[in-house]
Amino acid sequence: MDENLKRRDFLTACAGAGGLATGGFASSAVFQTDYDEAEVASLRPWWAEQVDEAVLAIDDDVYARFNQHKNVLNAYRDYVSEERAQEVEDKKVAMRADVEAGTLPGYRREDNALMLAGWTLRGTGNMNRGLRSWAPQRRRGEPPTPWETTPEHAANVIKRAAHFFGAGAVGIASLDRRHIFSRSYGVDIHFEDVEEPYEIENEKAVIPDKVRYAIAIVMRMSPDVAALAPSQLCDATTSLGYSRLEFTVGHLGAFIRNLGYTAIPSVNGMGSSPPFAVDAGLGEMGRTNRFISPIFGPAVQLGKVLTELPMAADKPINFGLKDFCTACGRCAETCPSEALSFDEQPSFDVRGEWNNPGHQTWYEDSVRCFEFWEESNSYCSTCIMVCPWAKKDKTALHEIVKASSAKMPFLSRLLASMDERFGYGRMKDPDAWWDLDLNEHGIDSW
Amino acid sequence: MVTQSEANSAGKETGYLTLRIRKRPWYVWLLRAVWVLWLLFWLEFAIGSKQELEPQAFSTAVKVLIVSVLLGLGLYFWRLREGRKRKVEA
Repeated sequence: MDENLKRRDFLTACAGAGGLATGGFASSAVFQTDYDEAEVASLRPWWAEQVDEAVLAIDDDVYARFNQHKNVLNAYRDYVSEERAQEVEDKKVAMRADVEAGTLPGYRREDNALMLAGWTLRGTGNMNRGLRSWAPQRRRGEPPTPWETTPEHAANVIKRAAHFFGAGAVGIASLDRRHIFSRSYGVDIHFEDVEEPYEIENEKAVIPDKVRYAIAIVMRMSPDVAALAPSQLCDATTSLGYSRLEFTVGHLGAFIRNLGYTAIPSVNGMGSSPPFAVDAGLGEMGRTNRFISPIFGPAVQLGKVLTELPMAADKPINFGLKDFCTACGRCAETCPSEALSFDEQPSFDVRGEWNNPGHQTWYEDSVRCFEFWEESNSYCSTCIMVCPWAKKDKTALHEIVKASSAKMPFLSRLLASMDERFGYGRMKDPDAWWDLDLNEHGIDSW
Repeated sequence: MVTQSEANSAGKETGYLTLRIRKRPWYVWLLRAVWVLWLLFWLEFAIGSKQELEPQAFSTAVKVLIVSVLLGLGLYFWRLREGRKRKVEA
């Protein structure tokens, strides 16, 4: 009897230990990225499947390099009448009085000051200026000889360095030249058979033909601040995000030059960042016609560094976002300017000259979006706040929901509906944000 | 499980005290395990939602948790009472 009990205890203990070991192994396999040098540090969740081509198609006969000057930020007045532009300007000025008085929540003096201060580092850079300079920034010695290693190891090193300099997620794509703007910052952008990138002021910027890779960088915004949209306090995470990108791409560029290779750091200029991030397997395009990361959701900003350093490229991913956005549509329903598409499926039908045609997506009315920015004296970001993919991930349920959405798309409508019922995506009290305990960059608040 | 009446009647008839161990069926243990996991899941969600500063998600999780605890305990005590009642009748 006694012996039996001992045997039973022993067997129970073995079963328990075995269960723990199996559970631990399974959870580590599920929740951690396998150590594969080529894709290490990409932080690709297990439920995001690698695919050969991005989920949303490209029409190769139409898709071409885009003139950034057609972007609504640069060409708004080309798209509307003089009267309409004046009407929007009047509304902007009318609200500015309240902003200056600091009487509105989210627009108080401290909110405004924080937002403006967030631009500080960003304000020092530009194409080939400041931290984004293309020139080698060596303190001493001769230019280094090119570092020789395998593409897989180079990819691993670059990704880790990017994280070290502040990137939230990093991926590597073969350079698709169609993502590079034909014109940006007042100059035409060319590819030439030259050794180093160069610029002729007010005329052209030249990328060497040998530049074949783009390192795409995802910078996480503060979810707590993004939940204050639309307000100037919410804009602070946008402005700071751009400054952090300036820092990260600038330092990564210097790191690559120290390895003996060309590096062209870029944030929003030179080329469109979202397609690079999609090609590099960091996320997909959502109904907002903006990039959505499977880990961080839409509350991200993107940058890239172009280089010829040979690296193993990542593949695009599919985490079921197309099906989810088709079923959800909450961003379009809550967009204050009704700028986002209500179309059920993504299409190739552009909404205006501000859209770069030839890629399948939910094209947005950028003019309406921009007008609301102006009228509300903010960068809005409501679509980011309400997106069910924007979560702080402090509970396992979000991971379960994301995985379910990716693997069982038929649940998307239910999951989107549940998200709303649980109260997610509602604007928080901007004044209460100043009482939170903040971590670095306010990203992990309590 | 040994009931007092069973032990007494067995002792009177044979002079021996007979211990009868009645195991609960496997599905009862399975249901209990599922119930505990269900409670842990909502508890974790409630704590996480509190940390995420999501009041509605937190209150929903707490409500589900309380209802689940009450339903589970209610079912447990009801089954216990029913079982005792059957033994007394036997």
